[in-house]
Amino acid sequence: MTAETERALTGHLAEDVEAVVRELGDSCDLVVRELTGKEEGEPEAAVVYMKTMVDEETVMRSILDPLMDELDRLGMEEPGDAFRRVHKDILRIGTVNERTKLNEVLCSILDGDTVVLIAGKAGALAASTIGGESRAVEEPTSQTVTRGPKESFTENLQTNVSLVRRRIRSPLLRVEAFKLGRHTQTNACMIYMQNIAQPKVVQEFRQRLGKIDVDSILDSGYVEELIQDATWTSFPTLQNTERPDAACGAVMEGKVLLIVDGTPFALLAPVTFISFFQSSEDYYQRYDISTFLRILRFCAFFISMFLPSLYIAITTFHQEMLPTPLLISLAAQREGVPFPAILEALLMEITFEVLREAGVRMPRVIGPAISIVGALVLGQAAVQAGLVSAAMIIVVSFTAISNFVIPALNMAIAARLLRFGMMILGGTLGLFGIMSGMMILLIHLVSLRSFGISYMTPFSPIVWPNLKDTLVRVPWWLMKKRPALISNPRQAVRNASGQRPSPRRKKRP
Amino acid sequence: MRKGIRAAAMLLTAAMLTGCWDRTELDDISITSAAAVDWKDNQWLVSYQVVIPSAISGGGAMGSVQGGSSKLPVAVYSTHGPTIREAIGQSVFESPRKLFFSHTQVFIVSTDMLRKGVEELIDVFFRNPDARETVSVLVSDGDARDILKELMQIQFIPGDGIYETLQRESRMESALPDTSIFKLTMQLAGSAHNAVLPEIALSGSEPVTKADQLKSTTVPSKLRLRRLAVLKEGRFAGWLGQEEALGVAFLRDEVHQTVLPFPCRATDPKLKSTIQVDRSRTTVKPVRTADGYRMEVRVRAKGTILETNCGVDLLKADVIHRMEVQISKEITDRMEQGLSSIQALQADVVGFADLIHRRDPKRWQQWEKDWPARFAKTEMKAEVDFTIRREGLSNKSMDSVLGLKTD
Amino acid sequence: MQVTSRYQLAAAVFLFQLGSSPMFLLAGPAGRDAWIGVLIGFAAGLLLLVAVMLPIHRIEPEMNLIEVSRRYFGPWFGSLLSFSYVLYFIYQAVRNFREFSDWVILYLLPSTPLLFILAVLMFISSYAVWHGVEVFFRLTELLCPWIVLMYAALFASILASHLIHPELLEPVLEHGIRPVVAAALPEVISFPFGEMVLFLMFWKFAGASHRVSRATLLAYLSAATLLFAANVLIVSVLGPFADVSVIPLMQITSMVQIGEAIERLDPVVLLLLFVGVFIKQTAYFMAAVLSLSELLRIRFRFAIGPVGVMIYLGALAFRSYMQQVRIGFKLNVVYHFPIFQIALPILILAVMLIRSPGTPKIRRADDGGIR
Repeated sequence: MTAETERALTGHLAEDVEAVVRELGDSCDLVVRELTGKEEGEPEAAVVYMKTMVDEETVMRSILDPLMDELDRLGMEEPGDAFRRVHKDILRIGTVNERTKLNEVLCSILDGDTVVLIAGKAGALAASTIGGESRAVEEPTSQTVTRGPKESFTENLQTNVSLVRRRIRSPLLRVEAFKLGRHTQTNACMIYMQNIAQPKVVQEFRQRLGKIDVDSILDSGYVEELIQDATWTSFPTLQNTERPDAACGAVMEGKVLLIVDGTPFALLAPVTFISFFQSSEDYYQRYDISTFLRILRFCAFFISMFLPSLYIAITTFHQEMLPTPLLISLAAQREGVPFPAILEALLMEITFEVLREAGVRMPRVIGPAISIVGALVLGQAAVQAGLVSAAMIIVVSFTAISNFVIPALNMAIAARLLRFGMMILGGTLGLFGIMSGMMILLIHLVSLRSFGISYMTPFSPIVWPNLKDTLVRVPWWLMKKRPALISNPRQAVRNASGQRPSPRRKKRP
Repeated sequence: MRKGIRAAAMLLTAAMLTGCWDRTELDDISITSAAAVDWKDNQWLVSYQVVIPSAISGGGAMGSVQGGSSKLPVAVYSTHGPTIREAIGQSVFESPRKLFFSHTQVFIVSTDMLRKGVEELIDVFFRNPDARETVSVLVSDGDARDILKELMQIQFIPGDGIYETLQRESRMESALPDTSIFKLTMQLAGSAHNAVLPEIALSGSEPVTKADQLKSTTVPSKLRLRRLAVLKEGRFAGWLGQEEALGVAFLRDEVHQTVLPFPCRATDPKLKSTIQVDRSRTTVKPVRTADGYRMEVRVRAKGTILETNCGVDLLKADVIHRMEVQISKEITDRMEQGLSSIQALQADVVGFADLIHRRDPKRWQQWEKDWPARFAKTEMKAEVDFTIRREGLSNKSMDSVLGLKTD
Repeated sequence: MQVTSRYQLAAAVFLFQLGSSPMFLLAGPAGRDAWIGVLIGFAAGLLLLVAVMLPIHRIEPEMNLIEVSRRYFGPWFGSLLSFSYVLYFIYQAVRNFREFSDWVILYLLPSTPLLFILAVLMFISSYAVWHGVEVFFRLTELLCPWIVLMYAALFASILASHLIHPELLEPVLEHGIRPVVAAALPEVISFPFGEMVLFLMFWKFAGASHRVSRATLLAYLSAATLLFAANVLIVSVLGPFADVSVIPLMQITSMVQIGEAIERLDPVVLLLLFVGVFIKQTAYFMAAVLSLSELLRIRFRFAIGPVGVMIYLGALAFRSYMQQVRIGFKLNVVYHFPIFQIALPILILAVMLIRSPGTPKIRRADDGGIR
């Protein structure tokens, strides 16, 4: 915005309206309705809005109708009184704000407000009439569950906040609004529980959001990259979710939720490594299967990161570690394969990554057909042509499948990328290389933080109570306290004692 | 500093991409399933039985090319040299692939080599990381190399076949113990420095070395476990037959399970029944006597009747008791037989020396030098406590049911 | 200045004490009585810890070794003393680096150049040191449960595969106690029990001193128990061969066979070895960097470069593995390490007690306030 727009409104209706129209570049979707009373002459008031941003029905019924009815009487009043009456009495809209500066007026218009200007008064009224097209609440596409709510966030901020509000009807739920992006002016809401969230974390979050000064914020991904703790890492230090129930669960643990307008993916912080292996379904299904699945996911993560490198290391450096029949069978398969194992593996991994990327880009209709051709035909043909060994195909496909087990896509990506580094280490230094790589990885992981919380909490530093909800998930009645370090220590207890269901009936007084 | 670390990381990566010093692809190694050592003309002769993977695991990268019996599963060749490792080193002159010993399951040594001593062999095993100390060692009376050349019918890889046979034997019959290099070494490092090893031999006429010979239901010769070799201070001392070997196994407390025929009555040694010893535990207690120690051997064993021709009702307590006495006597006889044959060799392979060493270290120091002679004179008092736990699925002997005999 | 919790301190002490020691027969010259030697070494080490090292920390809980020696010995002699400790830490790091590289070459990568393996190890350790004390301690906390678990699994599988012959431990004390004591003192103090002197550099990061003592002692006891168990295990499996093998526990593991499924557990031992030595070498590296930066009053991270280069070159200086072992286990542990682990700490404590008898009490009172 230019310095020109910093000035205040003049109170001269025609001049102000002209300024607004000029500043908005005479947009074709800008509607300026000048209202003149019964007597011909200067207009008494003007109504300005963007027809693409507002719900025109509302504008008509709640602003234009009453305003036109009262227009004659308004013309006789002092401009100040008229302005006040329009504000207090006439506009049938919940949110009406006074604006005195030109840029405020512009912002309001761009936000979908309808601005009412009264002749002779250096001020304007901005009535919230935001509307326009938006997608309905649908099922989540990337974070699906078999049991649990089927709602997902949409691109509309209002809808998203309401999805959260409806789940947490607490007066202590705090929703703070932010505007991000110099040009996009994207709305964002930071949501947390006043009593549960750590004040330090909330303050830090606020500060980091405040520092954002970029042209555009089109997705929460932009925000994530601008506020995350560490950039030079493939591990995510913020979590994203498109599930309102998961978001609410996190808020109730003391995390801070950031919803950005225009994207169904909300951000959560602070997070720990382990939270990327937890699916919201874990809390809806029985605890035993949840525990089993969490351990399974963890194994899958290790497999997807280390299996190809281990295969390379063991078959090319430490053949003595294989059982004899397996070794003979592998050796028979490798007979005649032209490439060294490391190259063979890299080749197949890259082939798979190409197939995967192609699957995302391909039109829905032909996608499945092509992936079958790619996966089955290519693999089969490669083995038969003697280019790769059958065992390698098994390793690569199992690695790929394991990668899909990890609930959080951004953590899966970390494993996917690091796999290549591990393969090179395994192919050059064998197990020693893999161990070295693993050690570097561990050092890196313990050095990470997310909004002041150690990434490897509760394993390092050990926080005993939090271990109840990590690899294992104990029944709800056992998790008496909120996760320490993440939630406010003064409000630690979340479940009352004696929640364990039992057939013994207490005597009623 | 950050830059420095990143530069170091890049250098390391670059180095890694170029140098893979120890990389050995699977098609660069020859998996050796069995190896043999002979001592001939003052030189070590080392033989290798190398697995040909494509012949064993049909398919593989070549897809349609099938292995099977038309191809031989193994190839055998030998190299010689003044030291064992030098002989193995010579293999690079004829082998296109690197010999790989980690999966060697059996190691066959000739008696000639054993007469020279096993120290070199043990040193090679303990010094080199690719040789595993769990390899089973067997003795061959003739050339060890000939054992490797023999093909087997059921188990495709002969080395593996020998190993499986030995495992099964030492578990089911217990006469010839499966002895790894490690166990051999531990025995030799014991107070008496003696050990025992099982023998492997060719039984039959013409050796089976061609694939064609396998295309028949019977083959002219087979590999067979035979006797027990006794090593005295690391050198070959003599053989024990299977019966004596079982007696020694009882004394060594190495009987896991065995099958034992026994006479029904002391009066009628021809009428035999068979017992399967399921569990046996031997404890030896040295008892001080005037001029030495008497060994009190106590065996507690349990078993199941496999076969009986005694014409008895097995539910009668006195019948069972009589049988138990007979079995105990049989075991005692075996042990005495075994002991007297090793006493004849003056080779204490049953660990009496260790017992005395542990019990009375001072006396042991005096006795250590002339232990073989003392051992030959050591008395034993055996006591066997046998329990028949089960009688199989029938309560009576079939003779009595069929009315042939009555007790 | 507290940056680590007591769990972290305990984990660090535990892993550092373990290092690679459970792999080896300590007090090897004592033969089958080595386990008694370990007990003697442990008792002596405990005495040293309780009577000398922990009191030094208790008197000056906010200071590390360098600050203490500067304060009580004056700038000149104190710096000299500090410098000698810098050299000691560097030398210990050198030994660990070199030893580990040699094992990697022996067991895993026989034809990879030593230069390269050392470089890889140096890179990992520098990366850890670069992140500082806090991250290092957190790393030990993360690794500790897994290491304990792996040792437990390893010992259990050795037990399950009928390798243990307790009778190999007999006869006990065949040649009397004298050779056992001779084997244990001072060798077993020098390695590994007396190495606790290193923590004089780290204790100040762990907060209140009574907690430090408790955590340290608990970890020390647990580590000693594990070492003792490992020693008994090694002797009762390998008997007279316990002293022959380069890495006895590896030897034992290679013989583990349970059924057809569980065998070839060597990678587990390798991993344990890797983590153990890594923790030890990094701890010494870290201590050297800390003490040098303190001594020269330069930024912590600036000292990594020079110390790293010194360690790297030092590790290359040994002619052979045998020379390294001979110097280390025949000369250093008998003549040199006791100076730094026993003599100098006692001297420091003595001077501290004589020169400022009043200060400790005041400091303790402060300490109570913090609690």
